[in-house]
Amino acid sequence: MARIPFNVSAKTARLIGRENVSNLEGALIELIKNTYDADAKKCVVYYESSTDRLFIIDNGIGMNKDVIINNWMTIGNSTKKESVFTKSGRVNTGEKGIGRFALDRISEKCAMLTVSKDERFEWLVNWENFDSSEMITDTYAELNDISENIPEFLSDLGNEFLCRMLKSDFTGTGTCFVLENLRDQWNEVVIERIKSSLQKLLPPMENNVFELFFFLQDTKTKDAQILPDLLNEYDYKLHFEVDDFGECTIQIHRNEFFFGAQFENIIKKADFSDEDREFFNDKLIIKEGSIYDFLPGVEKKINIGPFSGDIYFYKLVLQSDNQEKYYYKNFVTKRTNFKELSGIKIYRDDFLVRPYGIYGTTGYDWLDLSTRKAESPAAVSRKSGSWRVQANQICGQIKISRLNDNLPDKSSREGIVETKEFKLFRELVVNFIEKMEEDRQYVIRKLDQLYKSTAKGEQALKIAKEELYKYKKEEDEKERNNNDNEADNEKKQSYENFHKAISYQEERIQDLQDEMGLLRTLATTGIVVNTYIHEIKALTTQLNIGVKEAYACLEEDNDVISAKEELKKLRVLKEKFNSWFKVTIDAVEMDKRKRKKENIGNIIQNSISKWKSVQNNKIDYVYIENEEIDIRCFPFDFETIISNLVTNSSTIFKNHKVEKPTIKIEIGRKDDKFYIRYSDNGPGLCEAFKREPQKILKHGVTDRRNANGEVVGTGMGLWIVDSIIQNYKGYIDLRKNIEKENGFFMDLFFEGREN
Amino acid sequence: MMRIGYLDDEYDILKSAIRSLKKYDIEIVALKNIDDVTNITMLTDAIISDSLECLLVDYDLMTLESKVYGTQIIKDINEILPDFTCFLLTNYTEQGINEKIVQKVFVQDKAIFAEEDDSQEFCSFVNKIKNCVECFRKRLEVTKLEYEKLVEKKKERQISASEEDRFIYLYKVLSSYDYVDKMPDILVRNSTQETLEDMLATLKEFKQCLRKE
Repeated sequence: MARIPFNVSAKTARLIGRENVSNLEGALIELIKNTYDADAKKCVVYYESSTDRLFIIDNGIGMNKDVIINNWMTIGNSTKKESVFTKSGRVNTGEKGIGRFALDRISEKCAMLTVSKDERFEWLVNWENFDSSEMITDTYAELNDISENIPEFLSDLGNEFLCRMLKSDFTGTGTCFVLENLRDQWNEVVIERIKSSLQKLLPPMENNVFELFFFLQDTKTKDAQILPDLLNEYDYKLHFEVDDFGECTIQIHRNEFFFGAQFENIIKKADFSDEDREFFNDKLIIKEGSIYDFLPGVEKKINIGPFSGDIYFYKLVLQSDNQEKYYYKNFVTKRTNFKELSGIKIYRDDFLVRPYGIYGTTGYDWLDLSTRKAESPAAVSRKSGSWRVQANQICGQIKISRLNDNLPDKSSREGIVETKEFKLFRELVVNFIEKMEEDRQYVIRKLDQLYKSTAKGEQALKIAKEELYKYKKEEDEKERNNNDNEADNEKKQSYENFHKAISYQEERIQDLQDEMGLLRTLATTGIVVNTYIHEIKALTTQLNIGVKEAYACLEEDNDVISAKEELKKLRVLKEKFNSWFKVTIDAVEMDKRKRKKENIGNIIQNSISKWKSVQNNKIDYVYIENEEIDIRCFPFDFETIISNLVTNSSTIFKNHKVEKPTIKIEIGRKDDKFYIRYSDNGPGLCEAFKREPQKILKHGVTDRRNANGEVVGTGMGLWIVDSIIQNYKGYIDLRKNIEKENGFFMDLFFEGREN
Repeated sequence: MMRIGYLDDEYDILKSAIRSLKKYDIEIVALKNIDDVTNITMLTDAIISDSLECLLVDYDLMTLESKVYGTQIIKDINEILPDFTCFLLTNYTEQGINEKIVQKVFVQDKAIFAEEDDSQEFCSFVNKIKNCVECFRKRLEVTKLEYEKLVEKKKERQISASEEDRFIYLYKVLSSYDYVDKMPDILVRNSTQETLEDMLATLKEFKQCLRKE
């Protein structure tokens, strides 16, 4: 049986190629992607109007004869199919093996010079031959040996700046295309369109990994460089540097807001500081400190530097109502495809360390920002809670020098070894990002407050309430004078409806706030149980083992006295169990969930006595009542405050083996507010929080670590305390922690109805 | 009979543990008299001199003078005695396992001692201990072969200083567990030191000769 091979007409092959590269911009981008895949550091696109020629020049690795014959000349065959990464670690951008047809889309004639490490060739093709040949196998390109390098090959160029650049950066390996008989007319409109497409091609990074230039005949080198569209359009930029000695510097640029002519007015009304005024005018926010200041709770000596990085935050959608509220700048560029550019990449010198930050790979979200966001989903404007950035909203790069041996590469070269140092490095980068998040939240909270105070809704509610009040007054007057008529009845009905609607909404809000109070108390029960699970389980085990031993004394030794002794020991446990139930389950009992007039001193003293019992009187409590406080409140709110504070102190006492541990609680009144002054004689806040103690009130902030140095605290306790105090129109003052060397201090100020 | 150690900050379950394990021919020795458990040399010396073949360590030793977690102690012991098995006893196994310093298989819920002595759970725990002790004994036998080679070298005075250190360490371990006979100190003495003393004596003689001349 005869075996006949398939063939394809040259025209069809060309059509397939054209299907994939439909327009001029697409064709150019395909060829530029090829230069990136060839590990080029620089790529030049040059249009020479006097000769109507287009040049695409790169200083990549070039091609040898084998690659030209087996890959370049074999349609649809691409080495990139087998390998995802280039030699320098870049992710291959093209893969279909049709990039060369892009040349056909641009011009009729093409000359290529390619200089690889060992060989140099000139490759010539006239695409019109594809039309005249019947079969693809009858279509030929010329391949000639050549001795020139790229600057010599292009010695007749009409742009002297480009010639200079070629002589300095393109004398080694690389590839250049000279395209003649262009298919499009390269007028100003086309040139602008091309420039814009090229800007979109690049991710927003400021590094020397890949530079793209677009020259016209009179363009100077500095004007030719294409900078990514998104580069100057970020909402926030974070730059950080960590040196050999662990000293960190971070710079934050606020670029998200535009107040325009209202600038002074907003700064004043939203209560921004003088410093803020400068930060809104492009001054960088600088924060400095040692590595330990940014890694709360880490005490052992660690070396993870030097490294530096730039991280950019972009919100992906611009909602018009938010833009009005928060004075967001307009988007100049669409950010719909941003997710593909997103991710924080790591570069070891200029080489990409995979798979960190590469979209679509498992290493994309190596900082685990998604989990962090899921744990704290608070909106940026929310009064309490911490706003967290989403993984697809940021991009950037971290540069680690190869001299940094604290973060060694895996032997497979695929990633960095997951050492303790790497974990801390990750935590440190996340904590740097947190600084940016804090600043954004700070600004937006203030703007939100400003909006609310001037918002139409709030104003309308105020007007409605005033109207109702006025109406009620009039009604009372009429009633006294017996002046009722038919028309008034209709008015009365509608006013009553308004009144009911407003009361209903207010009740609903109150119910939700009460529900939140209960949830806070339940969360505190969870925190207490979680913190003391070791002790609670120890009691259960002790009880079970004691019973077993007593039984064994009777059964095996017939020793009644010993059995009795064992059981006697267990009776003490009953008290301990009861104490635990009191500080956990009793906190949410029905009676405490009702708002009523309570003596705060009594609530605190009761809590102290319960905790003393749980802690076997190992902690001394000093209670001072400077003035009685009787206010309407939920009793469980104040129990929750004490439980959270005592839990923290007790953990600190245990971990730092504090001698004569003491907790002091003082209550009284100062001006128009009541206060609870809480302090302990522990070691005080860790260095990282000493400078900015207010940070400990934020959701998710903790310095509790296990023996491995991993964070184990929930970071919820003090956030709950802060939320409760805010509900009582109060605030927390932690400034004493800055001055005092030892001990923890918290002054809680609050209000409450006394009758 | 197997001898295993027990290290805790409160020995409230000791009595019951002793009773339960005795039924399986395992004797528990409580390491109550160690002042500073973070002094690992002192701790390993106690382990060796008591001929312990396995150790149970509580996770939370924070009420001891040298507040420390059991995981840290186990890590430090195994740096000196790599073949010696330590179990981490804890009321909350998740904590011990999550730290990943002690392998999961050696993290044991303290509540095991509340189980019936003939229950499947307790038997399985006892079997784990026995298996660890058997492995430890087998490894000592292998170590003995290494020790014998060093003895030969020492006899021929071809032993290097680092080999001699190893020899002294192996002697200490093996003699404690009766794998080799006890020797007088003079025989275990460091031969490098002997050589040094010889050299010093020769030097002294030489100096005296010089003075005479």
